[in-house]
Amino acid sequence: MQRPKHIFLLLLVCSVGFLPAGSTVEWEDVLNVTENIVCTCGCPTTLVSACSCHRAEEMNREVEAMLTKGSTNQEIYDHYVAQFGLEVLAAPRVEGFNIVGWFLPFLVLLLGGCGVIVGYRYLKGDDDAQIVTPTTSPINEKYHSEIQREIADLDT
Amino acid sequence: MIELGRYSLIAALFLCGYGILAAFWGGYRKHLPLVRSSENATIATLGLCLVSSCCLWGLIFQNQFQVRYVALVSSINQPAIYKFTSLWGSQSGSLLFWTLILAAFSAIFVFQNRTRNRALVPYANGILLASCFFFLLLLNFVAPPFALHSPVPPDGAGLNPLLQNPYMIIHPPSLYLGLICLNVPFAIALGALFSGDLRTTWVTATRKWGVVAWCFLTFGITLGGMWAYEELGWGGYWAWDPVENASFMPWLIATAFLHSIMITEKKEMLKAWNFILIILAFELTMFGTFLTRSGVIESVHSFALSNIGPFFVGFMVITSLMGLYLLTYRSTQLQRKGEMQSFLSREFTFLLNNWLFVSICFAVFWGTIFPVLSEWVTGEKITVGPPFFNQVTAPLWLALLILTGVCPLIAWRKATFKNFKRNFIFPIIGGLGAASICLILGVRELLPLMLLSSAGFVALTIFFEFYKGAQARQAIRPSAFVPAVIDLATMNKRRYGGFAVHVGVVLVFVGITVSSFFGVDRFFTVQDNESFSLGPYSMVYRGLSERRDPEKDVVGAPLEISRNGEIIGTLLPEKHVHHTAQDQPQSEVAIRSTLQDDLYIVLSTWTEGSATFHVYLRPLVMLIWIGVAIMVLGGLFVLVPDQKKARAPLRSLKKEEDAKA
Repeated sequence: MQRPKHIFLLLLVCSVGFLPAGSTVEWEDVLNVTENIVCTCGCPTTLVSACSCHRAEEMNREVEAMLTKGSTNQEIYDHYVAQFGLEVLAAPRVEGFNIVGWFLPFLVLLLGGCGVIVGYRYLKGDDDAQIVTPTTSPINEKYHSEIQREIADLDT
Repeated sequence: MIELGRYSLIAALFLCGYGILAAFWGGYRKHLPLVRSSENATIATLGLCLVSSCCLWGLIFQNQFQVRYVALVSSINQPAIYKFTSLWGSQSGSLLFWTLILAAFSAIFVFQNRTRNRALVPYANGILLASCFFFLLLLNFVAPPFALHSPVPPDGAGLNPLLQNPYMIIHPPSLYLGLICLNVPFAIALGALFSGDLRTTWVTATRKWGVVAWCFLTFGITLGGMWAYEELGWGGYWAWDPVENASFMPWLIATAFLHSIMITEKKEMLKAWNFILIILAFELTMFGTFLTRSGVIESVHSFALSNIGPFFVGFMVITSLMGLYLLTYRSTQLQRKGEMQSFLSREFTFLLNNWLFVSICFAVFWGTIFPVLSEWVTGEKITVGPPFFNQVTAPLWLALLILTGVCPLIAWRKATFKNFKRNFIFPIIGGLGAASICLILGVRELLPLMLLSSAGFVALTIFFEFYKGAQARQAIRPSAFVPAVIDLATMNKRRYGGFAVHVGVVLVFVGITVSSFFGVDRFFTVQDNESFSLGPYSMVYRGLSERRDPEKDVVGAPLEISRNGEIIGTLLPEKHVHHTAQDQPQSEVAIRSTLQDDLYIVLSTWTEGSATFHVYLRPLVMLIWIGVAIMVLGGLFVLVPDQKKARAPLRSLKKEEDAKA
């Protein structure tokens, strides 16, 4: 009856090996933060992750240091916002008036979709009008084959 | 020369004013001599704008720094080629260059239509002249390029060092050509509305000018991206900067227009919608010009702050209202002719295409102006940068890419399920195959996986279109596959030119996706002769080199590059400090570009015995440039007249001669 307990302990010991090393911060973690912050070197809207200036290098190191200390991404953003204002964030936060900024494009997309459906209904022909009784007169056959040829031409 | 340039502009303004009155009055009264006189006024306006531009070029080359504009954009030691490009290097010169191109397009339009489309030409010419008149007003009263200043400096400030790049020789002119070319479809459309001649002649004319504008815009926007990639030193080619967006929005609407105009040509549907798209494309052109020149929005590309903005707003309001009024006035004549029969039809996929293009355009527009709006409302400055645009537009781009594949496979009028299944089975298998390859190669993120598998799907749809067409051709005239494809494409240039554009689009999507999602970059600080590596590349830093040119001080950091252990050459990233702009040290990036990847190195900082590099490894960037080249060539191929059509006027002439005989 002791077996499950032993297995649990074994698993617990093994799982320690899979824990991330406390002091190592991957460059991708730094990038995850710096691609959301604007470089404060003065170039308009250049992200820290993209800027090659001295200031960007400093900010990269600051972010790396903060991540090493255990700061979360949000805490790092807050740190820079406190220093430089909301302008330092590469995209507005989803709060207050900025909600309009984030959602209006999707609202317009939705309205456009409705517009497409309305347009389709407006342009849609009467299905009943499409039903044509076939006749066998030679003139109609001639016109029929002409129409078929034109329809085929439309596809090429 | 100063006086000649100035008086040429004044004369052009008066001539333009006369031309507008003569064109509209002559068109309204059907008075042919007056109409011809207005057309001559257009050609004379071009001549006067050319004289004025040549005067400004002459003053720049002669270092006449008493002219404020010359002192601003040129300097004694500036290379001749950049003295030439100085004409469009700042506000008033670029306005003059814009007016020159606009006058040239107007003259070409008039010349091209001396015997065609006579009902709408007087009004269209009047509208083109009105556009010229607006810019000439600005040049004469708001931003005069020949204004003098004192004291006269011994040397000019010189062109912005960032603009002294080979791409800047051709990027602004091609972009201007594209943007200004959109004036012509606008003028034709409004001319048709003015005259009431709403048969399909305006459709063909606007489509052709639209394709020309689209080709120039595509080429110009991409050159801008290449310039940013090589000159700005941030390892990217598109930053969703407001000025980049300003040129991109007319491109989006022009692309939507070129799709929807096909429906109008084939089915006489969506006439009013096409008018709206043309007006929108023109207004967005003006909006872009306003953004770049008014200083409303901060950008690395914009001109200095000026008082020109309100004039552009006024012009946009007047032209929009005029367009909308005419559209309403003629609405009864624009009612539908053709009919749409099913959701499962090519017509409907064109509607979806337009919906997506316009939605993307709105998202870009909204993201561009939102910082200004937000500051007005909340009083606090915010930034709307790449994370916003990427998140908002990515799903729309994906949908558009899928639609690029779906649209040609669906029949006109009404597709049956059988037809649908037959056409889609292989491309869908291809898309799933592409997804499997991506998964095997380790792609785990959903968005790149979807984009790449959709690209595979679209590529196969296009391949099957060519394959089926070539097979049919071979059945009629037995030949090898490649000659059959060439024969097929030359027989129907519009269709297969369009497919070539789509091939380019697929390559661009693959290039952007792979270079954005699978690129890596690192900062390296190294000592002299120390090596470092990124991906398959190893680099050895060989110490700083310095030199002094007449124009600038240059610091270089040579790097010996190896790939997989084999030495492949040396790269030299540099930092330039121009004597006229010492506060703006400029990175000269070193790039090793191959089809597989780009090794992109920026010299960041340096001290005695060490240097810091920002090194990027961007896969498949070259695919983007190749894709755009194919798009532009495909667009130009569409414009080549069919042999039958090209010979038609000759045949009709021969018939007339025979009849006379």
